[in-house]
Amino acid sequence: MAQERSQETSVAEPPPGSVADLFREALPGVQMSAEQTALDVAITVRREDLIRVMQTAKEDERLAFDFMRSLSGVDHLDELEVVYHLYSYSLGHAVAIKVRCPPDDAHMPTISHLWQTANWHEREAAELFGFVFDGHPDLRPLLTEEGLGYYIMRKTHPLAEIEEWQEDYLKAAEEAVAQAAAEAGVPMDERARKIELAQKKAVVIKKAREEARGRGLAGDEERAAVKAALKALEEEEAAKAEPKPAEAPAKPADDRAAKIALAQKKAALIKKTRDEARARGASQEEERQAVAEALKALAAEEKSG
Amino acid sequence: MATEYSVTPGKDLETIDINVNVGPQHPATHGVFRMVLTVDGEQVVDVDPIIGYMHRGAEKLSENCDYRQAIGYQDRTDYLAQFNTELCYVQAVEKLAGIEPPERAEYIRVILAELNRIASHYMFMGAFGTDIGVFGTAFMYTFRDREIIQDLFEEITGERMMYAYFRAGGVAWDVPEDFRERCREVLSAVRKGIGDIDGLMTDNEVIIARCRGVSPVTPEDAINWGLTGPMLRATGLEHDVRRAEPYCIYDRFEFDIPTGIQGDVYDRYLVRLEEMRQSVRIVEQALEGMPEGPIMAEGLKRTLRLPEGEVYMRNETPRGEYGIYLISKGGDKPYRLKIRSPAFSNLSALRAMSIGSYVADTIVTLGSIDIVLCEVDR
Amino acid sequence: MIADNAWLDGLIRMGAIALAMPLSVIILTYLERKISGRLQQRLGPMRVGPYGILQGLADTIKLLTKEDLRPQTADRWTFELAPFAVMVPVFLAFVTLPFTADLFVRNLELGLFFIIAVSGVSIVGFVMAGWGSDNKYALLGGARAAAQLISYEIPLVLAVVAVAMIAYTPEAGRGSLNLVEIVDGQGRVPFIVWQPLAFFIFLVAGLAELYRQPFDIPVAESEVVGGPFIEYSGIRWSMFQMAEFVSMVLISVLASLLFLGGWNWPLGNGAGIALQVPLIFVKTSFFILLFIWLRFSLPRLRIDQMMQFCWQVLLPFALLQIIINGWVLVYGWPDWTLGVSSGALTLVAGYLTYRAARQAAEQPVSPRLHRVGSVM
Repeated sequence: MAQERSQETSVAEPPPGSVADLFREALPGVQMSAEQTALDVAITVRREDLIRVMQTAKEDERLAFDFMRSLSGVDHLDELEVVYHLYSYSLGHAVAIKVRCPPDDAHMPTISHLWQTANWHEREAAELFGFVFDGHPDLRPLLTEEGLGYYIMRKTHPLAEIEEWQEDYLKAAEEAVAQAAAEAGVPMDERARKIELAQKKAVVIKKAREEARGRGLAGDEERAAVKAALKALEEEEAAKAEPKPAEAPAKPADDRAAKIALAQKKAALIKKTRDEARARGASQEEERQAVAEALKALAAEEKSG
Repeated sequence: MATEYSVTPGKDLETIDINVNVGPQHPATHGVFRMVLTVDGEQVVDVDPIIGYMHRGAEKLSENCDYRQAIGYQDRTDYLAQFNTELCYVQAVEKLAGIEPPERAEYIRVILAELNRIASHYMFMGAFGTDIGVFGTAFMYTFRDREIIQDLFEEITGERMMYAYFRAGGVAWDVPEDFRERCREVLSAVRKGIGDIDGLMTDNEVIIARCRGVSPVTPEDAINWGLTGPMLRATGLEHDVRRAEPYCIYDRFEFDIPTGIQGDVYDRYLVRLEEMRQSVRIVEQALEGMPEGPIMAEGLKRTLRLPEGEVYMRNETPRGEYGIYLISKGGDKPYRLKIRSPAFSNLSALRAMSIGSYVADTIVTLGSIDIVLCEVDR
Repeated sequence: MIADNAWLDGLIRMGAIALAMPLSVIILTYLERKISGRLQQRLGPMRVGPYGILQGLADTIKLLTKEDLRPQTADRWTFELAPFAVMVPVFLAFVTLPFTADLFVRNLELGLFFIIAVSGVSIVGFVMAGWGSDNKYALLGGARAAAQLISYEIPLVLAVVAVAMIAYTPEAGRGSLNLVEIVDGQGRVPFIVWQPLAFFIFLVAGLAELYRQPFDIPVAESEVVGGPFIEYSGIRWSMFQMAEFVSMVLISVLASLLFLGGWNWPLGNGAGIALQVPLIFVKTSFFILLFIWLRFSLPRLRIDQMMQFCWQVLLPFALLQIIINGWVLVYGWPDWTLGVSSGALTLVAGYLTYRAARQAAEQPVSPRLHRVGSVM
C-alpha cells in the first residue's frame, strides 16, 4: 500500500546543493533516493549499504554528522522502516536516513558503535517494533523488563482489530456509508428526514390551532386538539416508515462487538500461552514463537468455526 | 541461607560486591525509576538503569487520536514543561499542514514556553537541593516562586498541569486582559527568586565540594552520547536549538547561551541558573513586542486533515532537544508519532557517567540530569 | 542530697533524668519542626493545640501505639536489641552530667571519661541495626555510621582532653576529669577563650557524632533512605529518635560545660542556683539552636570528604593543641599564650578547610574548544 501511495504522490525532490548532493558526492555508487520533507532532506538507502552510509556520514568532512538525534521505527504494513535523524554540530545541517526491511526479516546492522546514544534508541525500537539490530552489545528489552511477546508499535499487533487507527477507520466509515446507501436504494439523509418531519409538524400544529380558534375553544382544549393532531401525524409517519429496512449502522456495531470479543479472546490466549511458556522456562524467542503459533491456531479455528 | 566464608590465616578476607536496588520507590529517583547499583563498599562498580515503569505507549495512543486530541498526550510526556512540548507538537502539525499562526499567538507561545522553562528549572533547583542534602529548604524556596508562575498558567488555561492550550494554528483562547501586568509581576518575583536561589546554593562550600568535578563530560562524549540541553552546554558547547535552528519567533529575541567549562554537575547547575535569567530576558522582550490581533489562523477546518508527508520538528525544552517525528498519510490522525525525549538520551549516559564514582555522586549525577520519567518512558 | 539514703537519693535523681529526657525530646521535636518551618517559609505544625504545641504529644501517642514491625528475614535479637544499645548509653551518660553546681545524679571523679566511654558504646547499636535489618540500605548506613562515628570519636576525645589538661582548681591544681571541677576552673574566663581550637573541633566532631547535616551521611535520606533505621517502626524507631535528640542535649550541655563555663558567668563565680539554672539553659539552648539551624541550611558531605576532614584536619590540629597545652603547662607559661596559640591555630585550620573546599572550584581547567565548529 505504501508503495502505491508513494507512486501516486509526487516525491518532492530536494533542492540542488542540499545535503543529498553531498551524500551522492561522498558515496559514489551507493543506491539512494532523496526526498525533501517539511524540514529535512530524507535519504533512503538499502540495508546493505547502511553501515557504509552511516560511517561516511559521521566521518566524512563534508557531512560530519556527529549527533544522532533520533531513531524511529515505522511500520508501513508491507515494510518496516528505520529512520535515523542526524545533525551536525559543526556544519549545522540535518538529514534523515531511512532504511527499509521486510517485516518477517527485521534484521538491521547496529550503529551503536558509531553513536553511543543509538544504544538505547535501538533497544527501544527492537522492543517496540521487533527489529533485530545485529551486533548490538545488549539488546535486552528496555521499557518492559520482561518483554511482551509481541510488538506493540506494529500496526499488526494482536489488538489491532479494535483499534481505530486512521486507515481502517476511514475505510470502514466509507464502507458503512456506501452500504447504507445501497440498502436504502435512495440515499436518505437522517438529518434531512428530521428537518422534513419538523416542518410537517409545524404545519399540522398551525392548522390545528387555527381550527380550534375558529371554533372558539378555550386554551386547554386548544392544546388537546394540537396534541391529537400531532399524534395522528406521528402514527401516519410510523406507518410510512414501517417497510423500511433495518438501520444501516446496526451491522458495523455488531461487527465491532465481535471484534472486541475476538480481541479479548486473543488477549486471554496470549496471556495463557506466555504463562505456560514461562513455566516451561522457555527463552523469549521461544515464548514469542509459542504466542505466534497459538494466535495462528486461534485464527484458523475462528475461520472454520 | 547461611553462606560459608572461609578465612585462611595470612590472607585477606574475601570481599564481595553487593547489588543495591535504588528505586522504583526511592526519594532520589524523581518518579518511578530504578537503577541497580553494584557497589564495592561506597564505590560504584556498575549501574544498570531500568526504565519503563511509566510506559503508557503515548506514541501508540496518539495514532488513535486526531491531531487536536493528541495535544493532550504532549502535556503528559514532560509534565514539568508542558507548554514547551505542546509547542513542539503543534509546530510539527503546522509545518505539515502549512499553517501560519498569527503574530499574537506566536508571542503568547514564546512567553508561556519561556515561563515554563523557568518553572521547570525551579523544580530542578529544588529537587537537586534535596538530592544533595539540603533538608527541603531549597525545595521550599523554589516552590514558592514556581507557584507564582503556576498561578499565572492557571489563570490563562484553567489548569495547573495539563494545559492543552496551544493549538495547531494558534492558541485555544486569548489571554486575560491583564496578562501583561500579571507577567511583569511574575517576572519581578522570579528575578528576586533567582537571586535567592543563587545566594542559597551557588557559593555554598559544601555544594561546591559535592558538585565540582563530579561526572565531568567532554563535549565529544556529550555529542556521542546524545546529551542535549543544559547537559550539553555545560560541557562548553554553545548550542541551543532556539539559536541554531530557530523555530517559532525565537530569531527575533536577544539572549545569550550560557555554557559551562568542565561539563560536571556544578556546571550543569550554573547553566540552568543562567538559563532562567535568559528566559526572563526573552519574556521581557516578548511582552514589549506582543501585538494585538487574532490568536488563531483563519480558514481552519474543525477537524484538521493533513496532507501526506513527514516532519521532524525539534524544540529546546528545559531538558534538551525535544523532537516530534510526525508521519501523515492523509486523514485526521497521525500515522506515526515518535517522540524524541531529551531526558531519555541524557539518562542513557548515566551508566558511563557514574561508574567508578561514589554512591552519593551517582545520586547527584542522576539529579543533575533532571529526568522526568513520564518523558523518558513515554 | 534529696533523700537520706544514698540509694534512694540516686534512684530519685535517676528517675528525674529518665522523665525529663523524653519530655525534652518532645519539646525539641516541636521546636525543630517550628524552626525549620520558619526557615523554609512554612508554618510547621499548627493543628494539634494552639500553634500546634501538642503535636509532640500526639506524635508520642501515635508512635507508642503503632505496630512494631520486624522484617521476616531480620536477625531477631540483633534487630530488636539495637534500639536499646543506642539509647541506653546515651542515658547512662547523664548519670554524671552536672546541670548546676549540685544538680546531678553522681559527681564522678572520672566523670568526663565515663561520659566519653559510655557514649562510644552506642556505635555498636548502629551496626547492630544496620546488620540485623537484612536490608542493603541499612547495611550501607550501618557501615557508614561505624566509619563516621568511630572516626569522629577521636578528635572529640582529643578536644576534651585538651580542656581536661588545663582545667584548674586551687585544691587539685592542673588537670581534672571531674566535670564540676572543670566548670569551677572557668570562674571568670570560659575555656573558649583559652582553647578556641579545641572548641571548634569539639563542635564539629560533636555535630558528626550527632549525624546531623552536614554529617548526616549514615541516615542520608536521598541515598540510603534513613540508613540503619529504615526497617524500624513504632516504639523502636522512636527510641532511635529519642537517642538522637538526647545526644543532642548531651553534646550541647557538654559543650557549654567545657567551653562556656557552664553555670558560671564572667561577672563572678559562685552564682546562686536561681542564676545557675538560667545560665546553663541559655548556653545549652544556644548549641541546640545552632545544630537545628545548621541542619536546615547545609547540604550533606560525601563520605570520603567527611573522612578526609576528620583525619587530615581535625585530628592533626587536635593533637597539636594537646602538644601546645603540654608545653605551656610544663614550662609554666602564662594562660594568655594558650589563647593566642590556639586562636592562631584556629585561623590556620579554618583557612586550610576553606582552601580545600574552594580548591575543587578552582581546579585547573583543561584547555577545551568552546565554539561550535571546532569540536570535530
